[in-house]
Formats: sequence, C-alpha cells, structure tokens
Amino acid sequence: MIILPPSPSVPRQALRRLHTPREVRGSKGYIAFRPCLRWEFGFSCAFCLLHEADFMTIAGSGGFQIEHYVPLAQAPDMGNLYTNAFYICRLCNTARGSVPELSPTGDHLLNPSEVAWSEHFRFVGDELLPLPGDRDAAYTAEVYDFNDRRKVEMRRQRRLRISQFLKFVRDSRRFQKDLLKGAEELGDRRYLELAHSLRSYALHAHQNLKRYSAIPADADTHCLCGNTLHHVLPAWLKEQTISLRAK
Amino acid sequence: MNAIISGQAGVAMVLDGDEVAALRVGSGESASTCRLEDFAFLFGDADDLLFLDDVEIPQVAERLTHEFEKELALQLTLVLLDHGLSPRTRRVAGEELEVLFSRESTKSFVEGVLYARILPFGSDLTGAHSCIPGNATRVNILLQELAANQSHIAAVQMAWEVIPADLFGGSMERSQIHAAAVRAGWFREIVTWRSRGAKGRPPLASLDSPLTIPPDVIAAWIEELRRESAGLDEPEEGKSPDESTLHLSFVAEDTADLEVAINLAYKSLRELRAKVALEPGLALMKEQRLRELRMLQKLESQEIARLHKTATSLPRGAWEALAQAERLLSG
Repeated sequence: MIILPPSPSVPRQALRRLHTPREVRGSKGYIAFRPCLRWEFGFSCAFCLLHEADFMTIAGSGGFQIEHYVPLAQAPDMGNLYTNAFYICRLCNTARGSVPELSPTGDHLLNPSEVAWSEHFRFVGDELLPLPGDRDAAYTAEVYDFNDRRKVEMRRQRRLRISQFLKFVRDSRRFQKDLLKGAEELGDRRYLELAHSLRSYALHAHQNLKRYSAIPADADTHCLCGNTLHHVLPAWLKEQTISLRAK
Repeated sequence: MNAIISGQAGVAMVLDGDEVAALRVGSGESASTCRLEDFAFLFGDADDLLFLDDVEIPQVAERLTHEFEKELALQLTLVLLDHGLSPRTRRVAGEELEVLFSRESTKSFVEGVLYARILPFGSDLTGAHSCIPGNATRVNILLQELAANQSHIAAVQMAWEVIPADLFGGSMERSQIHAAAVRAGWFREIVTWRSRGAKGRPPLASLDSPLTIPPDVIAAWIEELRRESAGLDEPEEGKSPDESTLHLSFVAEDTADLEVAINLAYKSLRELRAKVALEPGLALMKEQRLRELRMLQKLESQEIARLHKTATSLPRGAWEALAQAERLLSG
C-alpha cells in the first residue's frame, strides 16, 4: 500500500490528461466523468491539492465535486466537455461559485491542465501561496480560497498525524528487535511484555496510516473511457507517496 | 403563596405557610400535597428554576404550562435539526413547533438559546428546512433567520469568549452569567444589534430579565464587537444587511450548518470582489467580510481537528510504552 506524503509538494508540470471518456449528453451528463476524473487527478483537488483522505470525516469521496473551469452559467455548451471538467474539493467549489475565469481587472484563473502549479505557487508551512508578483496566481488563490482555514487545518492534520504515526512505526520496530534480543539474553520478562505492547500499538499506528492511502478503498474499477491502464496515480502524486510495508 | 417552577422538570412547588404542594404539567390546577424534602426528587438537576412571590394557583399553573412549552419547543427544535432522525419524525416536530410558536415568547426563548452559539458541526439546517410543511411559516422564518445570522452569532460568541474572566469575578460566575444571559435572550439581542450594523447601544435594557450582569462585562463585550465590526456598512434604507442573503434556496444540499454561514460569507465576498474592481472604496468592507469568513472557517476547523484526532489516534499509553522501551534499552 502507498500512502500520501505528510506534506505534499506542488506539481512541477501541468496535469496531463490520460483519460479519453466517450461523449456524454444531457444537462448533467458530465457526472459520468467522475471515475475518470478521480483517477486523472489522483483523488485530489486539482486546485488546492487536498486529497480525499484529508476529508476523512466525510464518507468516501463525498467531499469532492466536478468543477467546470469555464462555468456552466457562462458556457452551458461546455458542460459536457471533458477538458473543461476538473476534480475539485467542495471547499474550492463553494469558494469559487461561478466566478468567471477572467476577472474584471484582466486577471486569469490558472488552469492546472495548462500550467505547472510550481511555476505559480509554493507551499509555505501548510499554506499554498502564490509566488510574489504573480497576479494570475494571486487571483486563482483568492477565488478558490486556497488558504481557507479549514484547508490549512486539514493540511496540518495530515502533516502532524502521518509524521507522528510513521515515527511511531519506525521507532517501535527498532525497539521491538532490541527488546526481543534483550529478553532472550537477559531472560527478563519485562522486555518481552514491552515488545508485545509495542507491536500492538504499532499495529494501531499502521491502521491509522492506512487511512491516508493514496488510492482510496473505493477507487473506481471502471470508468467511462474503459481503459483500466489509466487507473494509475498521476506522476506528481505517485513520486511523493510513501510505501507502507505490510504487517 | 409562593412558588418554584421548572419547565424542564414540568413541575411547580407551591408554598403556602406550612403547606407544600406540587403541581404538574397537564394536571390543570389540581395540586397534590408533598413535603419540602421532596424538592430534589421533584426538580432533579433542572437549572431553570423560577421563584414567584405572592401568586395564586391559576397563575402558577399558567406559568408552569408556558415554561414547559418553552422547553418542549427547544427540544423539538433540536429534533428538527437532527439529521440522524427520520424525515417523518422531524416533520412531526416541525408541525408541533409551529403550534407552540404561536406564542411569541416561546419562539423568542428558542431563538435566545439558538443565538447563543453557532450550530454544531453536523446539525442539519438545510434538511430541517426541507422537512417542515409549507404552511409552517413561523418555523420557516426561524430557520431562515438562524441560517442568515450564523456569522453574527459566531462573532457575538467569540466576543463573549474573549471577555477577561476576572470581570465576571471567577469562572463559576462566568458560567452562571452566561447561562442566565442565554435564557434572558441577551445573545439574541446582541446578534440582532450586530446584524443591523452595531450602531448605538444594544437594547438590552428592554429585556424582561432579573439578570444582573456586571456593567464592565457588558462594556467589554460591546467594545469587542464594535472593534471587530468596524467597517461594517450602513444598511440601505429600509433593508437589513442580510436581506439579500435571507434565503436558503442557494444552499448546497450537503452542507453542514456552519457551512451555510460560510457559503453566505463567500457569496457576499464574491459580490464585493466584483464591486471593488469598480469602486476601490469598498476594499475595507471586503476586508471585513474576509475577516468574518476566516472566523467562521476557524470555528469549523476546530471541529475538523477534533474529528481527525478522533478518527486517527493511538491508544493511551502508546507513547509512554515507546519511552519506556527507550529507557529500558538505554539503561
């Protein structure tokens, strides 16, 4: 199993789309894109980069929605255009509403499929900030409210909890070996009992880490393009994941 | 005669010289003899005791019924907001509530409690709205105003919480004053005052309440709100500041109720952002809205932190076991 990094870094390239879903019809036809979009964007918000696991208090992928880069209100005919659809967390979606991609003062909303986020944003602590002087990035961060206190808190929780659990698993493994060795050499029962306790606690920590799986348990096995070869994490996320050894 | 009444317990104790009697809700004016020692048995841990002097049985019965209805209305409101209950149960609660709200003071009491703090994460205002029958006008208005006022409620709640404890005289006094202020409707009045721009002094003096609240506390509370509200716009003539956002129709289906307030704040912020491009003078107002939004988000993020902690935690003693292992091995 692979889990999320405690603190993500921003994609160094524009998010290239692999999925080519067949054409859909109807005013809500784009909903059928959801499985493709989940895989395409690594179960993460294409804009603020929060992952479904960060919304763990909401069952499944309920914290995520489909965003239209060019809003439906502005261009209803683009509603079922796959390249106009993005996987987005509901916090970003609520923050934007149907604000147009071009502001009255000429600032553009950045499109994660067209530009590399690293050229416009950087993480500073748990905040995703626009680079100084980058007006389009500032507008994008403001419209999607990248640093909504709830998002910052979710990033913080992930960073603290994954780091903590990984440390516990790593340290307890190291101590377990030494304790078992000590129990054998010294014949001291306390060493054995403590090794057992640590193993039990480490299992708890391991279970907790599994909640941060990069690929959720309910990841779609079928999507609209019918090509399961594309059921892989996007490169930017995959290269950051941590492999969790089976117990 | 004198009487002690509790709506929570649904009982009154009537004292007439050496005679003591109990009057229960639903038993009309017929009182049954009891002893003073029965006090704890009758009232339990009710914390809404009312002491009435020089009253007659019919007055006691009438007041008892009213106090009981207020408590019942509060409980029914909580049922209506509980997303874990069936729509049918919530609908019945809404219907009953509509009847109880025909007495204005009952509705004011419920508002007084609900306006004292923002709705907890997971309470379902949107669902409540969809459960109530179309003709339940009074309940409908209460829910709409409750949604529209969440940001003001949050501000008033936070302003209360930053009042220095020593102004109350101690933490127990603080807690007692808070409980009394909630029941007397002070929070509701302050929320209303703030929603109208926090101008002048809040009309607390008009409240019919035996509450004694230290003047320094009121001053600190109002001062904090004034400071925080600086920059709030004047309401337009004949229009309250929240009028444009007093409808739930745009609320997303899956929102928890703090999110309703957050959505309102976002809506307002988006409108201001568009206007600021044309009228730079509105920038201050935009900043104010953003501060309000951040405050609401911060409140919800505290809940998020708590839920994450609950969902992922190590058993008690885990870190101690690790430290113990380290000590044992290094020793």
